[in-house]
Amino acid sequence: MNLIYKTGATIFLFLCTSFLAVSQDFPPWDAPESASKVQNPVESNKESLEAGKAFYNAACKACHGEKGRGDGLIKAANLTTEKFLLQTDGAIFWKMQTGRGQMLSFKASPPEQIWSVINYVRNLSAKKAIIAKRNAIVQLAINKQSGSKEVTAKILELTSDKQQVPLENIKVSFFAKRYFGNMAVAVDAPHSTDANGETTITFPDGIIGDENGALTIVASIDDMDFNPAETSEQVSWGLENPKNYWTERRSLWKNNDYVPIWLLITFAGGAITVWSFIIYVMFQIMKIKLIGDKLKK
Amino acid sequence: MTTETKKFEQIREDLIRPLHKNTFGNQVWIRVLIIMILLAAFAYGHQLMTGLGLTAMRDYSSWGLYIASFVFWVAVSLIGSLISAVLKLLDQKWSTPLTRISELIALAAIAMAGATIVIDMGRPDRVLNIVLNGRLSSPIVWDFFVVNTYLVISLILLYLPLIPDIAILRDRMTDAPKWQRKLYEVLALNWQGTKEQWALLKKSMKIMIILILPVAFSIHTVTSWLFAVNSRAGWHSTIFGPYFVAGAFVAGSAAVLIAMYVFRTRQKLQDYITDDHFNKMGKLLFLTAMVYLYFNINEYLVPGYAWSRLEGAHLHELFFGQEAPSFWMTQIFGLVLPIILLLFRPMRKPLPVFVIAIFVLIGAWAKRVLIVIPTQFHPQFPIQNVPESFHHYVPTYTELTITLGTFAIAILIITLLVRVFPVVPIWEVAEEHENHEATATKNIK
Repeated sequence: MNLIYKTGATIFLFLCTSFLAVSQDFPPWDAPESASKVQNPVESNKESLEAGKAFYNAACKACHGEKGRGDGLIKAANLTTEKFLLQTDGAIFWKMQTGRGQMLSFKASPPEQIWSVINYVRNLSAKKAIIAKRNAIVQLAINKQSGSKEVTAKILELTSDKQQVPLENIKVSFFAKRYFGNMAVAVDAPHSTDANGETTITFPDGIIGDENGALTIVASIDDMDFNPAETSEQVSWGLENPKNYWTERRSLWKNNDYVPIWLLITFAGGAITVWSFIIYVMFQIMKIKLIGDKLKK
Repeated sequence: MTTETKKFEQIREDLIRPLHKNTFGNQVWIRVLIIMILLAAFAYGHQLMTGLGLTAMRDYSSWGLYIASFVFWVAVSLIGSLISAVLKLLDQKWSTPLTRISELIALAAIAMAGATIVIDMGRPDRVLNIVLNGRLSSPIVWDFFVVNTYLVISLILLYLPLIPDIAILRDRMTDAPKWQRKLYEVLALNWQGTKEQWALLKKSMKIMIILILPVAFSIHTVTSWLFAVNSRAGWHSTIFGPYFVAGAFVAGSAAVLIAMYVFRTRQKLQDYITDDHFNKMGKLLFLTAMVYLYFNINEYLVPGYAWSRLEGAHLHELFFGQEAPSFWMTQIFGLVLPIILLLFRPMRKPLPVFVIAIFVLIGAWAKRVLIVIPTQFHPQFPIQNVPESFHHYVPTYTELTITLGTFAIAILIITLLVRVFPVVPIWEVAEEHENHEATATKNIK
């Protein structure tokens, strides 16, 4: 009982301290005056925002979170607060180059990339009304002719008057669906749509599908100006997945509900055989006693 | 067997006589054992309160003296099946007077095997979890099951042939203390020696001596699997099952020889445990040791020839490294020299074979330590960034005291049981003598 109280108290104290630690703000961190005055040489346009996004996803997202709210894997600054946004680009640039504690220094990264990511971060918290995104849809056309394995994605904008207009120069990503998440395919070059809003890839060989070789192809767009959109379609271009011991229902490394039948039979068979003999002999011993009791009377 | 045959009454009196005497030596001996057990109990209490940190077991050597002793106990317990079952089924009548000694050793050893496992647990109160939540795929669950089954079978196999003897004691030991007479009364099950009772007894004994064989083999094979199913240098071997079983018969034969010598001299049983018994047991020890030597050569020569990366590091440690002195001493004094000496008839006389058996038994225990511990210092990933104490294993005084305590308990169990029950089965020996006499008279006629 004592142990339970102690454990409970420890957990409670631990929770209290971690709550205090979380709710506590970061100590102030100010960039020098001279650094704050530096102007951002990179214009905030689509190109720079896309470069900034790539950089952000690779280097910042893990801690600062997808939307910059500081809700990543470890506690990090919220990049959407007024306090953060009131800083000049120069001050943020200086902080990124200097680093503090778990915030790494990005001195080694090219300055243009840092300026681009600052543009992107500012864009993250920009009011939605200002950059209302447009809607697009993705259509997949599979060339089912033997041997070709061609996949064509068509990107169409849904205009406000319910028209579907092909979009040119939109980057499309292709994936094969896996157990956990999607695996990018045809990553050798970027695939942008042509004047018809179409881009075609050759689906690679040698990707494992299900038992029948069925695979799901996913095509998606992730463009600054458009809401994310994706579509998927099943093909039979995968390799057949042989019945795999690791994914079988019963196996040696599963719990008692999924014990292999052979083990169950061997173990139970042995146990029942041996113990039925033991119990039988115990009955014989009892019989010996009963005979003795009778004689004594 | 003696050349001269004896009448039942004489055999009965000869074998009961030691039970009347409670010698001074015996009393001192029991007190010494109890003091050792109390010390061990104190050490165990300390370990229970403080935790397994008191032992020298750390992250890498997470199995230590306790597990090595556990394997030793399981090995020794197998002798019950060899002498009472194998020799009996092979119609080796000479071994009859030794059956009870071997069964007593088996019972004490298997009980200590179970106890040692519990001692090795940091939270022994959770031992039932293996029944409630154990995974059937785990060799530990199989081991738990066979060890307990073997314990029950050993108990029954000790008890069954005792029943008629207890009845004799009930009738003859009228001067014994009241509790002892009551004990005989209860355990004799009102045995009257009727035809029916004999038939039931003989049938039950036959079932048990056959049943004990598969269980005995599986108990030590499963114990070896606890090691062999791990992909570790020095353990992951296909012959580990038979290798352990063969080694078990060596350890058990040595234990029986030691016990034979002690009881023969203390209870003056020279007419029943004869020089010929020592000669034959010496030969049996030679045979089992030869089989074990054969498995040893397989176990070390084959990986030693291939010398793969981890296996090579492990064997280097054993052959030339830190463990080399203990390894070679164990193999030479515990196996090779005994084999050579036992070839000579004078060495199979009671005293020499007794001394040889002591060496073999110590060697058998040391061999288990050498099987269990060195392997753990050759993991698949190098040992790095750990405290200095993780790099080696030297048992602490706590472990040594507790382990010695289990030895004391095993010896105490045997000592107390032979205080109340005859160490040589009365009716079985009498039966042998009668048969012998019958054939002798038939031959004269």
